[in-house]
Amino acid sequence: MHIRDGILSPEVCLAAGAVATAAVGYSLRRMRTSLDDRAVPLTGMMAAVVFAGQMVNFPLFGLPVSGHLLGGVLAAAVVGPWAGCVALSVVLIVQSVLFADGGLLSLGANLLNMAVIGCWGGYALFATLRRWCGSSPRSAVLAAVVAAYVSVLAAAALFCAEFALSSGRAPFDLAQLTWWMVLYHALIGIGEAAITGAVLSFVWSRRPELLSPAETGTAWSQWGRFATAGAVAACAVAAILSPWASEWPDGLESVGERLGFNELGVDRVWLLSDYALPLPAGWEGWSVSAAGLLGTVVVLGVGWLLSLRLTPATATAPTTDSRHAG
Amino acid sequence: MPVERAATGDNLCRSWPAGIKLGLAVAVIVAAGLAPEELWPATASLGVFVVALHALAGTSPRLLLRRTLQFLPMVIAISFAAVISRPDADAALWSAALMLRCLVAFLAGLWLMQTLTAAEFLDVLSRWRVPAALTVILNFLLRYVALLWEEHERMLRAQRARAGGPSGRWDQWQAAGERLGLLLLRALDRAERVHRAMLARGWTGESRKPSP
Repeated sequence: MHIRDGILSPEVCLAAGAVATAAVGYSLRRMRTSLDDRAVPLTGMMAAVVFAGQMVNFPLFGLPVSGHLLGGVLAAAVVGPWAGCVALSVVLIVQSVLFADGGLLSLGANLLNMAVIGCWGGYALFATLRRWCGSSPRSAVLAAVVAAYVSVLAAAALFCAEFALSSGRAPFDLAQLTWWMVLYHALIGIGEAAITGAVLSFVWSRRPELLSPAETGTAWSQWGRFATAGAVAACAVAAILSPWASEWPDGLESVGERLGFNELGVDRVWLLSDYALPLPAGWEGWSVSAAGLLGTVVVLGVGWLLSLRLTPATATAPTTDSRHAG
Repeated sequence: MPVERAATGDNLCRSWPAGIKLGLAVAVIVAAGLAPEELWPATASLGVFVVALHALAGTSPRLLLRRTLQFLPMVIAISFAAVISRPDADAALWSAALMLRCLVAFLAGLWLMQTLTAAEFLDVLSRWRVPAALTVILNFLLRYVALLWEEHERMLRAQRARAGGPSGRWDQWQAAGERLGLLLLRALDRAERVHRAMLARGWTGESRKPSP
């Protein structure tokens, strides 16, 4: 899962690094306000557990490869998304610089794919599912299992987009690469989900107060959780499925062709005409994916603005993060 | 123990300033990343330069070979996925250049691992004005990971001695999950104890430099 140096272009690494730095910086700030003076020992110890957990390999369905825990959803479920993100970031930094596991230049991409998507996205999905599934231990573990699985697939899809961006001038079939990556990570995701579920079941049976429903609800505002979970799921779906979109005309276009009124319309060239960004030749696969992502982000943004406008201020005020004290 | 780093003895590159070592490794990786596929001899020359650095650092050939063999399968898998994603004639050259670039970058990272100590790394982060909270958490991780790993190994031995080891694949996953769960609970308890000890010594949540 760790991206090595040389796979992504320096430009993409820098861009991913900038986004990851902002996200980790924000997590660091939120972590310090939510955990006060306990932040350092608790997050440091959580990072050590994730580091140790990543060294425990487990067999993968008779394949000549093994999987290991990534730990994003696990860390976020126990210490919260902000401290979880910082803990995972610290693990990735140490692995990259001191253990040559994961690239130095691609550290930003690794932080973005595993720490930010894994903890922010994974936690948002976990909390949203938990709200829908009920507060029983079994439903909480189920929510964590689903969130862990989806976070692995989302990270794989994000890697494909980064790799396609790195391929530059070359003609590139993003769908082919995505298919292989998603297939491989669909198997890895099963291991991640199973281990996350097993660890959380054990923690729940011994220390249920660590994952109690009342506390989980205050870690993040309901809207924030829903929006982030939706964004992660939508981006994963947009990135994975948009290259496979059918090129056949839709119902209205088909009828228009048959009756001959398609020609009456005025062709306007917009930024996202034909659901593709106007990128140079050879980037067609990526342009469809990017347009899908851009469209999803725009729709989410519009929805967010509308919700700010239409919802009373008291209902949208975020609650403080007072749990996750270990 | 897997968490033990390979760099333990003295070597020529150890005495270089930490910032220079980090900068050199990053420069090699960026240069390898920026070199076009057609200029693969330049990338190969960078590889020779990094191997020379390893010779200066006294890296054992055995370690180099072992880590490279561990690293290659993933890069080969990505190159394979990349080569079938490009139907043009240059795909093979592109894939070979990708593998070469990755290998050079990996060797540069391995050289850094051999020459940079954890203390030097933390010192560099402090000098580069990385937020103190992050540096302190990094320090925590480096201090406790070996301890937790030893605890995990003890639990594994005890589990095997009592139950003869898990049999099926699901049993293995469940056993690993329970071990990690127990490790997590013990670590959280330890974090509480450490926090109380830190409070007793005047910890306020802000890291301070010791007064002279």
